[in-house]
Amino acid sequence: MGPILEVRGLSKRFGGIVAVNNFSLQIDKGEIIGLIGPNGAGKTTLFNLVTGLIKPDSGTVLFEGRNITRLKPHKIANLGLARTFQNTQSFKQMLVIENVAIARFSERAMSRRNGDDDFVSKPLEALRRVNLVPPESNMFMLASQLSHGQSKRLDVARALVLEPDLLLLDEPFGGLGKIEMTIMSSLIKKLHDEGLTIVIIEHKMRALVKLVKKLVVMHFGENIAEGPPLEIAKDSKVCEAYLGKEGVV
Amino acid sequence: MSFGTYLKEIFSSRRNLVIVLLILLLFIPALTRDHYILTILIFANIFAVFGASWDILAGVIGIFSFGQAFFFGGAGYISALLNVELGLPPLMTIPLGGACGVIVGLVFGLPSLRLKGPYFTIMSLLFPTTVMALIYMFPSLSGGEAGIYGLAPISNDIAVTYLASLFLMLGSIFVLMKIASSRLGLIFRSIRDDADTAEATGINTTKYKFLSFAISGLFAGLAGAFQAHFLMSISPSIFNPVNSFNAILYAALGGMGTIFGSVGGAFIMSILNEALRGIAEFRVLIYAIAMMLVFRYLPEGIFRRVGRHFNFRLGIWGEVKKLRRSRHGSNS
Amino acid sequence: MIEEIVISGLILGGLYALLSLGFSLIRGVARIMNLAHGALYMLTAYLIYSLLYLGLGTAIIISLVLIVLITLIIYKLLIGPMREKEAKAALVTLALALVFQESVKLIWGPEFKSIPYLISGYVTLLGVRVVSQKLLALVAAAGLVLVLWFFVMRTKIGKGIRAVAQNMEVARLVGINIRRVFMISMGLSALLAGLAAVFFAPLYVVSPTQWTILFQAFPVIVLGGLGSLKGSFIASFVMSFIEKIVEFYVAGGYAAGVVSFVIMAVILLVRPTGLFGKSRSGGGSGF
Repeated sequence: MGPILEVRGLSKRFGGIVAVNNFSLQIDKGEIIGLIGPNGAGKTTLFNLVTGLIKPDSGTVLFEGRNITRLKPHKIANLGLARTFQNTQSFKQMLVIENVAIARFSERAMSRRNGDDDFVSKPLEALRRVNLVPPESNMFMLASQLSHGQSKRLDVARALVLEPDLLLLDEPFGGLGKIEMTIMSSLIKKLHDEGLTIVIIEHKMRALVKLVKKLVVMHFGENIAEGPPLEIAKDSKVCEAYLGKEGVV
Repeated sequence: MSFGTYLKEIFSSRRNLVIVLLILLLFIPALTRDHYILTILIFANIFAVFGASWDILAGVIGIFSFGQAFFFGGAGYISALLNVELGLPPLMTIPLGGACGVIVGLVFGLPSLRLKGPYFTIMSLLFPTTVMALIYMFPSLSGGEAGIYGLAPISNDIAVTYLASLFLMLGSIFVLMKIASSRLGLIFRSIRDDADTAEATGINTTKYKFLSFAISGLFAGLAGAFQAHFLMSISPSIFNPVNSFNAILYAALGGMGTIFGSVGGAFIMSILNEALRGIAEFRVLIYAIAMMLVFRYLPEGIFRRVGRHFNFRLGIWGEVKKLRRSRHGSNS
Repeated sequence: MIEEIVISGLILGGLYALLSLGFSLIRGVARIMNLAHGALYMLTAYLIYSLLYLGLGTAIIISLVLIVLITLIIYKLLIGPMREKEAKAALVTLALALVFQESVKLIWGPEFKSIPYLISGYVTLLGVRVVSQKLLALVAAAGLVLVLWFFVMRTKIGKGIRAVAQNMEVARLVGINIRRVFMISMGLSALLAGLAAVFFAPLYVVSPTQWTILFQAFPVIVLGGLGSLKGSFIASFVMSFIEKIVEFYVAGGYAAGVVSFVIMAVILLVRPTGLFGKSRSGGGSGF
């Protein structure tokens, strides 16, 4: 049983800028990992490359042993790799329930119907799981009327309807207040406990470190360090990356 | 109850209003056989379908095309050729024109694989003009500048033609609205709102985009073929970009994304067109000013306000309501 | 004749270059497709025509001033407020172009007009007789492109324009007055269209449908590539020469349009981002 995700030597440049530089990473099933690094390190680009939104210049991505490097994003999603975006990309002009139900029409969700012929139960369930309750009143709201935290959880709900094996979260705590962060945190923990493999891009270290067992540090598009949070904090390369050569933790 | 109250009751529900309108439209031939009036109405029906075909593309899935005349004229020409060269009757050539519209639509959609939004829109403008040039270049095949004439009419009785056009319009609008408010429409709208997220959610956006092109082509093609037979001729001027803009005007005037708005838009414009016939030189100017004002100040279209409650999000609404009802039922 | 093809190819290319530059400028900065850009070109020609009694030089100056003013007013009233809705804004400009077309037809009549050359006579270059006006037009086009390049690259305002074109949010944060940049770009765009009319309109007819020349230039814009001004410039001449060659060797002006369309389609298949387009990461919604 190999790793669920294997990134080998992934590289991407935009014009003169190298966004991702020979990046490699292995993620095992059931792990929960944090991807950190200074702004502009290439983290979101990495997500975009892995999920097929952009094509890499070189390197390969293997998901559950399958080469997904050049596949289109929807194919990758249908294989069980879901992600959320940094800016809450809900379908703003549509209802909450519609936002989540869209995922129900993906090939993956359609093929895993298990006999339920309606297209609302699974989305409703997902809404309940992310604590957008009570679903009955929330679901008819326009997605644009949700609060920021709710929007973020809506994105997660949408990803959940896909029944993914791997979930990539891009700054799930971005712009959240304390209470909402707690809700999101416990949601992520719950999902992980249920067996979902999760990779989280985040800047909010304290919250992140409580959730993950392993951190991967990205700097100038490269994988400069991997390991448990305590080790990473002491790693000199990491300190340099965040604080510059003069900085000392 | 008094007659006044009775009337009020009829007009209170939007549904009833629509039914009344439909009955009116159906019975117009009984009220008048005036060639002139019926002709205007026939054109209004054709344009309504034409506008709706643009609306499903732009208003529902978010693809703005400036080349709607490509489907309209393309299917029209094919219909004309089938009729004149092969002698097929309108009853066959019109549906066949629609079918060709599907193929034409798919061809039209090919550039969308390579071009993003605005660039696709620019390109779409060039499709009909290129076909027009091709027609001029090969006059022996296509009838050249003079076009193709001598097509079989839809019926010798204009009232019958009117009813046929009404049937075409009602059928097309009904189907398009069904699509727009179905699960397919939901997927379309998700692509309109954010294609990348839709992709990341496992939706094959390319497949659905092509589907929408096919649908748009089908209905624009039906309208074009119908018009060709109604006028009993077709000429390259049908590919004039202004025709494409007309489709946009009808849809936008009525409300983008509503589908039924095109009906309103087409009828209003047809009537306006005739009303201004006396000042022919000013007609296009007034029409262009109207277009400008509508797009600027009424971007939602006239019927959007009305349509808002119509609730296009019928896609899964029905199923949600069912669940709600069953839950309430079990709770009580 | 080779010389004819070369000359007319260069002239048409110069016109395409100026038009596509003006169009792309506004598109890149304010993200608006100004479909009435060709109409500004046309209107300038008509203004010059009607002000000729004041003498050509005066007519030109007044016309240029007028066209910039008209454009700014239009921007203030119509386009500016619609900036957020790109698609609808484009439709407004389309309707506007039609308004211009019809107004022009009503005021000046539908017959073709012409405006005088700025300089008459011939010049002999490399043993070929060239109409002086054509040479002037070419030189002017080249000069304008250079001036524009210098302006955008070296001046402070130019840098502001580039900043807004690249990233509006960041430009705003850095304190650049976005509104002002838009106005300036709009004015520049109008000026480009107007100057194009001054030099090129004498070489063609002036008619109410002249504004559709913008559509003729579309393959140039698409071919030149996403957001690349250099690409538009080179594509202008590529397309103009292809068109002229086809026009000369295949009878009928229609063939040229078809061929350029086909060639554009083929090139796009091979290089989806146009000749010099830069591929961007990801993308937003459809339009």
